[in-house]
Amino acid sequence: MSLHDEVKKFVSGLLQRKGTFVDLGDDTPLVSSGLLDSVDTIDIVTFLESRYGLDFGDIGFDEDRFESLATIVQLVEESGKSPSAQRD
Amino acid sequence: MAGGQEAQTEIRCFNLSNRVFEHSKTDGSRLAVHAGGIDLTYAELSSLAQRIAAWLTTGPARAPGFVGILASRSVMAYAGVLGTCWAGDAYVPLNPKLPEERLAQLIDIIKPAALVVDAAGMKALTGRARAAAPARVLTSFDELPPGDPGGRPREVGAEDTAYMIFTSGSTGVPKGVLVPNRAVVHLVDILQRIYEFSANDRFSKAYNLSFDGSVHDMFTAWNAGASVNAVPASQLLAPLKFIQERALTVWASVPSTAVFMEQMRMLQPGAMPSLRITIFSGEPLPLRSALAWQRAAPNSLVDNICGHTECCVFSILERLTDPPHVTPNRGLVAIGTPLPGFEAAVFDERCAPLPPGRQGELALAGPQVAKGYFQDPERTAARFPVIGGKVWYRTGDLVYVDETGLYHHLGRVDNQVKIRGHRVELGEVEALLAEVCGSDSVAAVAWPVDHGSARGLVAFHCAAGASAQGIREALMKRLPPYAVPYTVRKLDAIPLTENGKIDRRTLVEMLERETAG
Repeated sequence: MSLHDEVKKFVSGLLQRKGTFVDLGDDTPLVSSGLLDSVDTIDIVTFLESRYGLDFGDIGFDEDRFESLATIVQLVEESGKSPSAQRD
Repeated sequence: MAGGQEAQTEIRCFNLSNRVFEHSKTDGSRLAVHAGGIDLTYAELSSLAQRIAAWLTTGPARAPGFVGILASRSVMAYAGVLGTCWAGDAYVPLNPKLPEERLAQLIDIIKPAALVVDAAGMKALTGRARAAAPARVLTSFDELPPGDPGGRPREVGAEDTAYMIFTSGSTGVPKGVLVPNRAVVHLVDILQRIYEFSANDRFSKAYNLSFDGSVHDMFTAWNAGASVNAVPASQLLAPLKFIQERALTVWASVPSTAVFMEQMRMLQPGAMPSLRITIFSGEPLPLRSALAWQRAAPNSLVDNICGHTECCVFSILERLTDPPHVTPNRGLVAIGTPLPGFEAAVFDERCAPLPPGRQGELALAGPQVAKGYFQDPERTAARFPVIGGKVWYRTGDLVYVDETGLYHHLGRVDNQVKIRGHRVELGEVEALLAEVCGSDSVAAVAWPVDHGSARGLVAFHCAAGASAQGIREALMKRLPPYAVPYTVRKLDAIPLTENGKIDRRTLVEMLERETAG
């Protein structure tokens, strides 16, 4: 699975757990729309740290980076941690 | 005549903008506000406040009124607060994140003389909310009249209202808490004595204006001639970079910040060396997070201060010590002892004081107790009883005093819950839920709750035709974001107790079982 698909699967799972079923596009607003709250972003952080080895202590936390699938994927790409390097 | 002049000086002291005015004369070039990438010196802030006051008071004379501050984390927000005080009006924070319906409802209740609105506020001021707004709306500093260099803050009285902050009301209508100038002056005075703030301090501004912790952030900082540094909303959850980059010396927020940062492994030892004072308030402080924060901020005092909007921000303080004072079996830092000026008691149901060791409702008296609820004498009389010639505030917090005189927090005597520091009455959410579902068979619980702080709400309903998503979307239009249930569940029936009340314990147990299974 590509980085994009993995992130999409994880975020869709989060939304379904909340009883929300939306057609999740790359630019669907997640936080500003209220689809995800700040606690959900923690779940995404935990996922990104464990799956791709990101370290938010270094990157810093900015909720805007969790606004859409596209921004989350970009965050991982910018960190230089490619999913293939982490493939298990 | 000398006596008269003295009295005048004394009266003027109650205007909360007075210290900014004074600092503008003596240290005008010092930083007063950093918000949204903009820096304002004391001279600039004072001038803006004075011009906003002039704008508020042009036209026919009127009695002091309310000014709604529909702004957040912006220079406009803080200048608006200060200008309102300068003019002798009372400010009312309105969160730009509120949905249109809720905002319109609040504006209808307040009937403000004017609104001060920033860019975020402009986006919120649409439709019904726009229609409810007064004619006088400030959206840009360009609209202000030029300053009067000789102008100074208007004289106000100790009992005049400084601000009104809305909290969740159990019947579905938010209630406005009226806080007088003397309460804020007292708060600022005792905090200055405890912490000895100086003009070199750099305060965080993490609390939103609609949260009364912001009263501390602004007015204690400005009293000392220090700077207020607004944490960008997007960094609120884990503000490590902001604290480091701004080299903050004073941090005040809900404990969730420490909990989240610990979860993200951001609280590395020595990570925040600039901090010298940390104040956590708004919800219970887990010991584990407090200790992690202390290691990350080794030069900082770590204080847990319990407070209520009805008692002007802060009332009971516990300092993290080694070994720490912990509330047994809860993993929480104790809430400590009343601040100077406060009298505290533990009441039974009939407001009779209980002896140490007995559990009851925390009640507070003293100069920080608010005037009551706006246009609600009934609820004011119920929550602010006069006992022994003193006005007490019944907090609704379930507490006891241990043998050493420390107060410990055990929960609530009612159905109020805390979600990341925000007060939510479950009754308010259920009232709206019933309306949306067209049925009274609804319930809301806070879940999961970790160390006394809830992750959010779970809603239950029995309406055959309603979808979870539809209900959530309807509630999003009416409730502040944190009070919208993150999950909506359908049940065949809402479990009830023998008295016919919602059996929340059974609902929580059901959620616990599902997670375990």
